[in-house]
This record gives sequence, structure tokens and C-alpha cells, in this order.
Amino acid sequence: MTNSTRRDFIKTAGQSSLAAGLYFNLPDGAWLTADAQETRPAVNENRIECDVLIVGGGYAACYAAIKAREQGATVVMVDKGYAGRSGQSPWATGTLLYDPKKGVKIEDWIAEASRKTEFIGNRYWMETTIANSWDRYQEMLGWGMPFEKPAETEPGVPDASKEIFRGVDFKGNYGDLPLALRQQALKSGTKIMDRIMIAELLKQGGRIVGAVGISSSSKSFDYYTFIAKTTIMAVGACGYKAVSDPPYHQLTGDGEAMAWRAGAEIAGKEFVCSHWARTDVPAGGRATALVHMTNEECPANLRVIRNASLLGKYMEDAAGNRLPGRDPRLAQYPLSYLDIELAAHAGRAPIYQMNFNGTKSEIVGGMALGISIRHGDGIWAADKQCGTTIPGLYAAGDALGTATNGSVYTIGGSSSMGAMVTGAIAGAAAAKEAAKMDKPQVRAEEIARAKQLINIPRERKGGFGPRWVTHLLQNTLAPYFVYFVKKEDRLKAALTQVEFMQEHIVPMLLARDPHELRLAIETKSMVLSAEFRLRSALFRNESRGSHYREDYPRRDDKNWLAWVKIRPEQGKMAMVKVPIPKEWWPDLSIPYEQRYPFRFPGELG
Amino acid sequence: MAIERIDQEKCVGCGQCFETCYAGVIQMDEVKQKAVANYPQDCAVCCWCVALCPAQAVVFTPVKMVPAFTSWG
Repeated sequence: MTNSTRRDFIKTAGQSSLAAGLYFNLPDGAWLTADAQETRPAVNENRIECDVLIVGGGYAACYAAIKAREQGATVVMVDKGYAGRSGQSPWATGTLLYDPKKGVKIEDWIAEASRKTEFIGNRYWMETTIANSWDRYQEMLGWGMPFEKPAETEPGVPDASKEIFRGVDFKGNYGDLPLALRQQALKSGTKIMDRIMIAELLKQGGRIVGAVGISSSSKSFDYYTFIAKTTIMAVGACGYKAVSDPPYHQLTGDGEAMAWRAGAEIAGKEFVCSHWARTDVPAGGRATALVHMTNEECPANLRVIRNASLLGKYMEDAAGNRLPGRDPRLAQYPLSYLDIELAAHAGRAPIYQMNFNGTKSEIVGGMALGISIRHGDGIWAADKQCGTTIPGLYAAGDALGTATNGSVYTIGGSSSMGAMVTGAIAGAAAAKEAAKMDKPQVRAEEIARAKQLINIPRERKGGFGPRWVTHLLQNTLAPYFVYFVKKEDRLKAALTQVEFMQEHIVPMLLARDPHELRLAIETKSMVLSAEFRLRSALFRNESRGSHYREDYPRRDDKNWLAWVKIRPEQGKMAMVKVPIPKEWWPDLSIPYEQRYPFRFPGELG
Repeated sequence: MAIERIDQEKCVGCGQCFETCYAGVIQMDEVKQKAVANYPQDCAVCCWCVALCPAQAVVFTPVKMVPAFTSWG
């Protein structure tokens, strides 16, 4: 079927739907064809050499760049969008902060944080993030970064309950802080390259020696070969392109996919994001702003409109009955999408939430496909310098699998501050390692291998459209009975679908221009990430935090005070259980129901 | 809402929307020196192009039509 024929078909179908009063919005057709090879965009080659290559453009990447420059390294930072606008960094409103001079022990803070992560939060990385937060904050103040103190308290001191520390807000509009960090990175002498997507790492002699990327915005296919002594992956968390608010649209797991192909280990994928959205306006997320915003109303100050949060309102079932309120003891836990899905599964769906104006909106978990746990899953942190299991490759921020948040995102502000702290550590360490090395001599065959892999969608004459494959993947994962309320048979069914995509659909992705090549690579990364997620969820046969297994509804402290990581073995995913240190265990003499105040359906029955 | 197009009459060619669009929806027409929304279906609805445009040239639709997930009914 030719492209024009398919378009005509969709047009016709659209007209008949319109007549019936129905509106369908289809993604691109499943099967597309490319123009003849001679009319397709030309290919240009570029080569860049540096000491430290940084992939990404948010807090972690900017901080890594600044700290690597302080060590005297030549630094190139590459972002597939625009450094300072990409990822989750622009949408954070504040960060945690701990002032060691305020007389509260960090151990007390860590103990509470550990309890909230259901005991598998990594206390080393928690402490590293918290203990370094004050220095990073002071440093950023010195650079003139935009912060403002919350009105009610001083930053860095505990609140009345002494359970959380007051953080600090970012001043100004959404995105001002990452843009200011971008400026600081430029000022430090970092070379920033926007709209170039790093798509494959170069590996030689067991080390990462650079990467190959493509320009996603040019008319021609422009390839960039980066030769680097060390590489830092700072590409953020991984979601599935849900239209969500905040719009984390480009967090597609490209970094962990590249690292995995190079032999790195991946951790924490069984845990999921705990944000929710609404069926009528899935782009609305928790904030009402996007829902009502029109061209005329969209003001320059995005912060004002985006802070219209619905949190704290009560929910109703389909019959208009108010759903039970949350146990007051759970007040410190954020309202989670998981709560809503569990209620839905108990037969009370659809579920409504009251709006400010008294109307009600139906709720679903669209947001959940947008991001992952944040500062929890990602490329396994193999040492204390943000190194991975592959020499020459570091990771920072949400891309680094530190398990800081354990089983559920609970340490507010840990994702943004964690990105700054691990970015600083990784930047300094990567630069110090680079200083001891000679420039890598990368074989032409290795560069050709990487380019060939990237090129597959470009060289096909016909194939699956990346938007259609993404939609297919979203539909496989999005049902609540797959992604949130899990059970072995359903996980296996979804995994079968994803394995089919890996084997038969991903190899046939088509890219007709550089923008579609970016989409094709993103889609390939997301399908791999889905496999990580489903295999990890199957492996952890207990429930904990944001991971609920209907067939194993209890926490199993005997077997699962442990992390899950995935190790590449002969091209397959080998599941590995990594026990947490015994000194981090909860007090097992405390009765189960007190140890874990949040109830999963069926766990006590 | 989502981007529909850039009004070519109003666009002053400053490139701010192109710079800020991390989803790659907006590109620059190098001949005409104007921004164009070549891939509106990939709009992430961050709204920065609207917020930054000095000429109110970004045309936004009132709603974004997204391919619904089947689980959303």
C-alpha cells in the first residue's frame, strides 16, 4: 500500500466517522513507504574529539559539565532537544536541602526516608544526596542561580514533625534554573551541541571511547562521531511518551538502551511512576492549567498557571459516592496513581475527582507512562564515583540507577538535588580519569558498526512508522492490569507482545527523514525498556511500594530486601537479585502491619 | 491544545521557538528565514514556543487530539 493511498483511506474514514459524530485520531499508518533513495536527504559526516562527552542537558548534565571543566577537561555536552529545556529539569519546582548547622542529625532524616522507600532505598546515595545538598545550593547561589525560600520557613531545617526537611523553591518561571545552569556550563567553557541525538556508544578494548549521533533537525542526515576518553550518560528517567503534564515527552530510555547494548547492567525497572492523569484531558495531569489554556490565555509566566494543583481534593466513584479518605497516618505519603488503580480494580471504576469549580473529572493513569520512578532506576551504579560496570562510562541524575528512592518516589526533591549531586561527582571523576589517558584511537570498523545500526530505519524502502509502533507499545503497557496491578499471567502476556515487537517490528522501523530517524531510535529504546520493566516485574514476586503483584500481595522481607538488576548474558536478560546490606533492614520484630502502614489489596486475607 | 502551525505572516524569524522545541516539532526554513511547524503531531504541549514568541505567531489548537489508549475507553 502506498503512502498516498493510506492517507486517502484515512481521510475517507475520517469523513464517514465525522458523519456519525465520532472522531478518531489515528497515529501515522502502520506501514509506510519511503521515497526513492535518490530523492532522500543527503548524508554529511562530522567528527568531534574531547576528553569528556556528556549526553543530556538537564541538571545532571550541566553540573557534570561544570565540574569536569573545573578539572581542566575539554567537555562536549550533547542534547537531542535543547540543553536546559529537555527532560524533567525544567518542570521541577524545588529541591531538598539539608543544612548541617541546624542541629538535626542526618541519620534521623535517613531513617525516615528509608522507611518511606519501604527499606530498599539505597542509604549511601540518600546520604550522599542529602549531605552534599547544602554545598551545591551555596555554590549555585554564588553563581547567581534563581532560588527563593519558601515563605513559611528557612531552607534546610526540619518541619514541625521533624520528618522532612524544608527544601528551597526555584525562583521565576519553569525552566529558569536549568537555563541558568546551561549558561554556567557555557561560561565554564563547555561546548554545547543541541538537537543532536546520541544513538550508539563506541566500544573498543572493553572501554567506551565515544559515541555516534545524528542531527534530528537538519534536512540532511548529518552524522556526528564523538571520540571521547570518558562518557557520562545524563539522559534522565525513562517513560513511554505519554502526552502528560509536565510534558516529559522525550525521556525514552535511549541512554540505558545504548548502555545495555554496550554491556551495562540495568536496575530498578519493576517500580513505576506514581503520578496520575485524567481521561478527558490526559495532557492535563495533576495541574488544571493545560486544560483551560488557549492561545489567547497562554501567558508568559507558566509557573502561575501550572501551580493550580488538584491535590487534596476528594474522589468519587461512578455512582457519586465519595471514596474513603486516606488513613491520616499515611498523610506523609503522596497521593499516588497506584491508590487510584487499586480502587478501580476493586470494582469502583471509573473514578472521579472534584474540580475547583465543583465539577468532576474522570481519572486514569496516563501520566504514569510519562516517566519512571525518578532517581531510582536506570544504569546500575557500580561504584561511588557514578561509574557503571563498563569502563569509561559514567551515569548521573535519573539515568543512574542508585535506588535512592527504593520502591516508590517518596523523597521529595531528591530527583533534582540528586541530579546536581551525582552530576558533580560524575563530572569530576570522569575528568580525572580522562586526565590520565591518551586520546583513544578508534577503529573505523567500530564507527561503521555503530552507524550501520543507527542507519537501519533510514535504509529501508518500507517499514513500520515509529509513531504507530510507539502507540502499539503504549497500548500494551497502559492498561492498569498490566502496568500497575500486576499478575504473572498478564505480565507474561504483555511480555509476549513486547518480544514480538522486538523480533519482528523494531527491525522494520522506517525513517523517511532525520526527525523520523530520531523517532525510530526512541521507539526502539522504549520497546527495550518495556522488556526490562516486564521482566523485572515478573522476577520480583512480592509487592513493595509502587510494585503491586496481585498474586503476591505482601512484602516478603525474608526474600526481597533486595534490588533487581538485569545483566546481559549471551544476548539475553539475566535477572539478578542484589541483597541490601543487613544493617539497612527494618526491625523485623515490629509486626508487619506496623512495619508497613500502607495496605495492598489482599495482603492480609 | 497543541501547536497547529506558525503564522508565516507574523513570524519574525527570531528562532526562539525553534531553539526551545525539544520535541523537534519546529524547524527553521532557511530560505525564508521563518519558523515552521513541520511535525505538529509530535507536539509535547510544553507551550514554551507560545510563551516565548515575540510576535504571537504560534497558532495553537484548543485541544490536542491524541491517539487514545484503548485502556482509556
